[in-house]
This record gives sequence, C-alpha cells and structure tokens, in this order.
Amino acid sequence: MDKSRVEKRLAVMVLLLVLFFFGLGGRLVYLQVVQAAYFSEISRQNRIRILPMTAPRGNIYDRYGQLLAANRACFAVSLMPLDDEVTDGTITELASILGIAEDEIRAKIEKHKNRPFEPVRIVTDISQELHTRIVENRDRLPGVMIETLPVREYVHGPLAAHLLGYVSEISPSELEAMAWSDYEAGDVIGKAGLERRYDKELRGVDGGQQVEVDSTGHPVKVLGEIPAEMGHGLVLTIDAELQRVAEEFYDKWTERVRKGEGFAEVFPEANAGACVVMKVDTGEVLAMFSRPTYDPTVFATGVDAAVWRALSSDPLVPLYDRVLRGRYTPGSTFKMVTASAALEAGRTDRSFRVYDSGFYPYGNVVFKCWKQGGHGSVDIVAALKHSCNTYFYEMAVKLGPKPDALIDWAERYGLGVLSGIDLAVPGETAEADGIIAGRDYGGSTWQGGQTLQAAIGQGHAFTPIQMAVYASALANGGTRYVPQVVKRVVSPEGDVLWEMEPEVAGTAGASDDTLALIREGMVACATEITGPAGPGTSAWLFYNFPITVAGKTGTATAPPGDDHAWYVAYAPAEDPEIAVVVLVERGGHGSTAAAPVAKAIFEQYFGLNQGARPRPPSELPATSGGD
Amino acid sequence: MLYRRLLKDVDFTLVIAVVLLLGFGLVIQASATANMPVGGDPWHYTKRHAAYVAVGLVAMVATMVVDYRSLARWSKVIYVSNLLMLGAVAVMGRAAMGAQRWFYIGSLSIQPSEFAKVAIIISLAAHLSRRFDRLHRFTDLALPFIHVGVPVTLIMTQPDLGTSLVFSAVLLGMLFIAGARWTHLAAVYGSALAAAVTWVILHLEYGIWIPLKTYQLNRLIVFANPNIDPLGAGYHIKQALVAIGSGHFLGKGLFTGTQSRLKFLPMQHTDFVFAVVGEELGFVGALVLLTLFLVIIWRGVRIAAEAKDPFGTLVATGVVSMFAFHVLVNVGMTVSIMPITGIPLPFISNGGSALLTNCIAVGLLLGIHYRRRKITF
Repeated sequence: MDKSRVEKRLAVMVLLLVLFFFGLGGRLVYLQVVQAAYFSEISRQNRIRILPMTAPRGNIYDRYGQLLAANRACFAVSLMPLDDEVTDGTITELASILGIAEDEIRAKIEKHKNRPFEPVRIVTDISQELHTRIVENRDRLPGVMIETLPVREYVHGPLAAHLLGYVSEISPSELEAMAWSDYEAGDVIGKAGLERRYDKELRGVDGGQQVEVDSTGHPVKVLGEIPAEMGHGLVLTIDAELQRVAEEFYDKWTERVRKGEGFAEVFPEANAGACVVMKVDTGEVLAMFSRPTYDPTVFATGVDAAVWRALSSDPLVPLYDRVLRGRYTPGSTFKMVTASAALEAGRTDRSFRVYDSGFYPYGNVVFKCWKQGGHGSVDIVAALKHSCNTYFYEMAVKLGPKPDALIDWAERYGLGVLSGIDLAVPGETAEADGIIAGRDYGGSTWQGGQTLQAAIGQGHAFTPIQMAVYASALANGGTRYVPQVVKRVVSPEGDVLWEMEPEVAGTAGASDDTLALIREGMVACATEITGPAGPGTSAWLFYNFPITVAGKTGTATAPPGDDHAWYVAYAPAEDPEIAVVVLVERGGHGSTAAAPVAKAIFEQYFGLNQGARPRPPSELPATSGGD
Repeated sequence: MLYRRLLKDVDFTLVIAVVLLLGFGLVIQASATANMPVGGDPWHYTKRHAAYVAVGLVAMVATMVVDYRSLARWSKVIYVSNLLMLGAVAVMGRAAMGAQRWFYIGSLSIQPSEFAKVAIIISLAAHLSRRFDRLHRFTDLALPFIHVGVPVTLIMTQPDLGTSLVFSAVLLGMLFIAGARWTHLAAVYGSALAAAVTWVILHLEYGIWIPLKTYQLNRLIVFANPNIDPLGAGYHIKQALVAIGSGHFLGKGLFTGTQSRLKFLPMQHTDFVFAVVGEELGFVGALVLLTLFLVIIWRGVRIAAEAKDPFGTLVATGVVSMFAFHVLVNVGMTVSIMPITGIPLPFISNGGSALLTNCIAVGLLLGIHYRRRKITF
C-alpha cells in the first residue's frame, strides 16, 4: 500500500476530528461559562414543569343535531411539585380548606411519584367558593394550583342514560385489559353504553404545556404547548324529542299504574321496564330507555360514595340496561310466532275456526283461555284480536308435541338470538341472548303440555331489543335489521368519518299471505271496537286513532308477583314506518300498563299530540282490559 | 523476556486512557443511578456496571492476545453469523422503549447490534484490504456499501436509527483510508444527507410516508426546533441543557446534581449521561472526559498508521471512526447541537453489550499495535 497516502489521509481524519472536538468544547464554554448564571437560576429550583391538558370528549347529538352530551369547564386543585417535598404545613392547610383527610392528600402524592414533573390532582370539580378561598390563601399554599379541566356533561340529565352511558376514571382491571392497552392510570374512560363502545373515538388526544413556574410553583411562562384535540362526535339515530316524550309519558303512566288511579286494579311494583322505538325499514333506533334510571353526570368527576352506595345497592339495579340485557317472558306477544309457524306449515288458514269454550283439555290437564267462558268461534284474525289462548293451544297440538317449529320461527324473527346491536367493546357483551323453551331447556324431558304453554308465549325469555327486531320484521315483510344507534361519526371539524348503512341480519321467510293475516289480526287487536266477541284487547286506545296501528298486547305470567305488561306495535299498518315495544315489569296488563305509552309515542312521531291523551279504561266497554 | 516485550510493545498510553475512562464511567454511574434503587438497593446499577467493567477488561486482554490477522481468515464466518444474530433479534427480540434490540438469556440481556459493530469492522476490513488502493472508480464503492447495507437494514427494522448511523460513519472512515476518491465519498454522503433532509421536510410539510416512528422523528429535529415536542424530547433536551449549564466551571459535585437527583433528566444513566457529567463535574470534568476520548482517537490513528498490513490499518480506522462518531454524536445531542439518535457514550453509559463491544474494540487496537511494523533500532 501507498504508505504516505494513508498517513496523509489519517492526518486529515485526525484534523477533522480535533476540529469537531473543539466545536463541542466551544459549545460547553457557551453553556457552562457564558450562560452558566442563567441555567443555574433555572436549575436552582428547577422551574420547568409539564401541565397535562385533558382533551374534551367529543359531543353526542341526536339525529337532528340536538346536543345530548357535551363538556363543561370545571376547576381542579392540584399540587405542583417543587424542589423540596411538599411541607406538612401546606398539606394541613390544604386539607382543612378542602375538608378532606391529610392522609388522602399524602396518598395521592405517593401514587404520583413516577411522574415527578407533573402536578398531582387532589380534588376535581370544586365549587366557586372553594376556588375563591384557595386563590385568597395562595401565599400560604406554595405549590397549590388550580387547573381548568373539561368534564362530561349530559345536557338532558338522565335522558337516554343507559344508551349514552357514563364516564369515570379507568380501573386497575381495565388497565390490564387488552382492549385498553394504550390507556394510562388516571385516564377517564367510558364505563357503559356509547361512552364505552366509542371511547376511542370520543376521547380525543390529550395535550399539555411546558411551563416555567415561579418559586411557589405558579406558572409564569409557557415554554411550549401541544394543544389538546377534542374527540370525534357521534350523531345518533335517536330522536331526542321523541325520547323525551316517551320517557316522560312512561314515568307518568307507570306512576298511575302503581297508584291504580282510574284503574280497577293496583300494581304497586310496576316501577321497572323498558321501551324501544325503531324504524322498521332501516333498524335505526329512534328512542330506547330502561327503567329505573340514573343521572350519568354524577360519575364524571368521581362519584360520591353515598350516591354510589345507593345506586349499587338498589334492588332494582338502575345501572342495568333492561333494553339489552333484561330477559322477560313474552306472553301473548309471542302469538304471531305461533301463527306464523302454523300458517307456514299449512296447519291453519284464513277460514279455519276453533271453538273456544274457555277450556282446552289436553291429556289429563285442562288448559284455560284467559277469558272466562271463552271467545266462541274464532279464526286466526279473531284469535290475535282477542289474544285467544284456546286457538293457539289447538295450533300447538296441530304442530305436534315437539316445539321445533316454534323454536325455528322464534329465531327467524330474531327472538332468542342476539340482535347484533353494536354497543360492546371487544371482549365484553352488551346484550343477552334470551331463552327459547325447548331449545335452551327441556330437551329429553319435554312434555307435550309444555308445547301448549310455549305456543302462548310462556317459558321463553326475550330482551326488549329482540322484541323490537321481531315487531319490525312483522312490519317490513320479514327482514331482520340489526338495530343501530349511531348514524354518523364526525370529526370536530365536521368531516364525516363513518356513516351508518342499514344492516340486514336475515329474513324470516314468512310468505306475504302469512304476514298479511298477522297484520289483519294485529290491526283488529288495536282498532276493532266491535265484533261477535267484543273489542280487540287494545282497541280502546286506537279505535279512533287517525293512523292505523297494528299491535299486540302481552300479559306474561312472572311469578312471584304481578304479571309483566307488554305492548308490541307498528304503524301505519298500511305502510309501516316505526315499531314500538313497551315493557312494564309487574304492570299487570299489557293493554292498560304498556299500550298507552305506545300511543303517546305514535302521537309524538306522527305529530298528533296536541289533542287527547288516552282515556282511562273505565270509560270503555267492560271487556277491554284483558290479556 | 516476555515481560520486557510487554513493556515495549503494549500501548500503555491507550491502556491508561481506557482504564481512566472506565473508572470515570463507574463513578458517574454510581452518582447517576443512586436515586434509582432496584429492590431497595441503590447500588444495583453500579454493581452491574462494575461487573461489566471487569468482564470488559478481560475481553480486552483476550482480544489483544489473539493474533488479529487470523480474524481476516474468519471474516466470512463472522459476517454471516452476525447477520443471523441480527435476523433473530428482529424476529424474536424483546421490545424496550418501542425498540426491539435485545436478546434475553436468563436475566442477562444481549444486544447483538452492539457486537455487530466489531463484526462489521472486521469483515469490512478484510473485504477492503483485498481492494486497498483499487477503489478509484465510483462503481468500486458498490460492494462495500452492500456489505454494510444488509446488516444496517436489519438494524433499522429494530428500529435503531443511531446504530445504523454508526455503521455509515465507520464505512466512510474505512473507505477514505482504503483509498476511495474523496469526491466520490462526498457525492454519496452529501446526496444521502440531502435526500434524508428533503425526505424529512417533505414529510413534515406534505405528510409523505417516512420509515420512522413519530418519537424518532421528533428526536431527530428537536435540536433545530425545541418546541416540536415540548412534552417529550423538547422537555428532555431543555432539562439536559439546564443540567450542563448549571454545572458551571467546577460542577455541583458528585451525588449533588439536582437535575439528576430530582429525575428531571431523561435517561440520565444511558444516553444522557454526559449531562450528569456536565452538571456534577462542570466544565473541567467535561473537558477531562473529552480529552481522554481524544487520547484514544489519537492513539488509534497512530496504530492505524503503524499497522503491519492494510487489514490492521483498516480495522484500527474502523475502531477510531466508531469511537469518534459515538462521542461526537452523543455529546452533540446532549448539548443540543445534533439530533437525538440514541447513541450511548463509550465506556460511560450504562449498558453491558456496548461496554463489552468497546473493550473488544480497544483490544483490537492493542493487538494491532503489539504486532506493528517494528522500527529497527
């Protein structure tokens, strides 16, 4: 090799490197000699801190843009870490002003040790008075600062509480779950409903400020900032006005049912239930609610212990969403399933009649119709109109001792199967699947008599959302739509990030003739005030209603205690738009406890609600209050 | 006889400089990690570092004793097994701080990309020594670039930007000494730098795709704009400057640096350890440290010049390039005149694989010096 060239190049290399080292040395001179005083001053009490800024959650709107969930500003008291540990004096002073234990403050400081340059939040959402007192005592409270944070606010209080859900601080078990792997301790997270299902969309991106603080820990200069980004908004399929009218009427009406005002009977336990209103040709949910309810706002800033105890120990479990999880015996609302099974199997038709004497002997047991003395000679339309049990006992016998046809047709209409409503995060379930007699129990011990019971809707248990899918399928020609509650996801800038499309879960496969006969029976039930066996079971409500309603009452035996009241309906019968499902636990009778709520909903939906409210049953022909 | 030869042929200046650096590192580690107790033991990291120093010294002597020329014969084996190690870590390594660089053997973590530095220096030196002074055409550079490009690509996937850059610096130094035209090197490295800068700017302005994670990108550009990431790298860099600047001329004294005591400093025992030096030992301490590094570089270059064969010259050049790049980029980022790329400070930063690699590299220098061209007298 060319030795002199190599040595020359090595010399160049050394020269360059020495030059670079001199550059570093020069920089050190600048930092440690020229600027030393400035940096010493900053370091003397390290004055740079990070103030995290919580992103506001995305807004939630109803389908017409009415605000349902937003944010409000609240004050939080925090301790800015100083050079030295927070003094006992400060802790004592602060504890007495806030009215909390000193140990509580110490525990919070201890928990925060791994983030030494961020403030420790002591109390969130303090009152204006407290805010003033802290500001006045600022000099005696070194390191204590007040932050302004966005807090979730539900504009209409408890309206649609179960659907919207609520937010609260993430729990230790959630921190370990896969679904929330990118969350940190202290984050606020959706705990139920849409807040949970869409938490990742709603939560936004937290920001923060790098600030210089003075010797008492108060920020004096912002050195850098990452603005918090608000979360995406949700536009729901919900019609807030319809939801409000439905909820208010439901509460008012069930109070009457409990007190027995204007009724022949009193049902004092009628204080829980559910309601769903759904568009029959898309699956969009216009209103849904569960009773009893709660105010989701109380959770946003850390729920008060007493409030939490009351909520969690209430035997009626207000936090439980009965629309999706409550399972109730359908009673007579199941009869359209039995009718479909019998018609499709050719076991009956338009002209086939059954004579109902009020009794139906089977084996060595006598089954009864709900009406003493029976309905006389009834065809399928009259059987649905009067909810005649005897007719459907006969259908059960004709379908054979095994319940297979009933199971099949229940599932075809979406009963006893998950509706598919998108309200759960991965790894969790939002809805219950329900029970079909003979499918989920029975098996080899099944007795023929149980088929008779199953045919009139006893022995099953379905959720209100399943009933809404069922009612919609009866209305729209047999299509099962997946119920949906979110119409659009929109960015804070207004860009549409996701748009709902109707989703078909399947079709029932019932013929047009079958569905037409069932409709005729349901219309008769809701509107025919006359006839050989008297009025339809809900005709007292809709006989003079400007819109033709197709409905079916249900009074489900649910021992021990009073019967559950159901009403399942759609309207207008000629060209259906919405399906309504109302359930009143222990309401006594579908006709009197549940159906009037449906009427209020139809009045609101069709714009008829300036006029009369439903008249109490005492003004009506004597036979109306039946099954 | 052997004793006298040792006295004459071992480069004691280099040995003393390295031993002083190791001692310096041990003291700084003790101070920087005293507030990071593990299982109640404040000396956990210090003890571990001391163990690595001991192992490193043994490795250094062992490497010196082996005749470096035999390594040229084994270069292909070294190169291929190195690629296998890097491939394995890409597939099954454990991720730390978003990067996948480590192998775990029991509780011991091994970082193959550190050892890859020595492996590539040896194999590239073997490759270039066969083409010494025959690198005049531009196309002659293709093979050396592929030689280094393959392992660098594997390391980039970990992702480890800093180590990848070390390789390009080593390649530059070795090609320069092996006789490549400086115009060619300037063209290649200049255009690569220009392309990288353009890419980053296009990404920032127009959002085009870039093979970097956001945190890596922020760290790269934060020295130019400390406000880019005020809660992450921007905060770290400011705290490091405050630490160094407040150290003044003589420093705050060992174990008394408030910046590091209060954990205001990021990664104070690894990548940002120089900030602790600056804070606690001041300008004087920092200057002593830099001088010790300059001694190593100076001895390394002399050893390259006196080597018996082109292979020795090239290995020594590679080692010098590696050390120089590490020191300049690490200190440069700590004093905020260079991008943060996550390169440790040789002999000082905590990290066993790096310490061992550096000791082996010094062992290579000592071995080359031991077998240098003898000046007859």
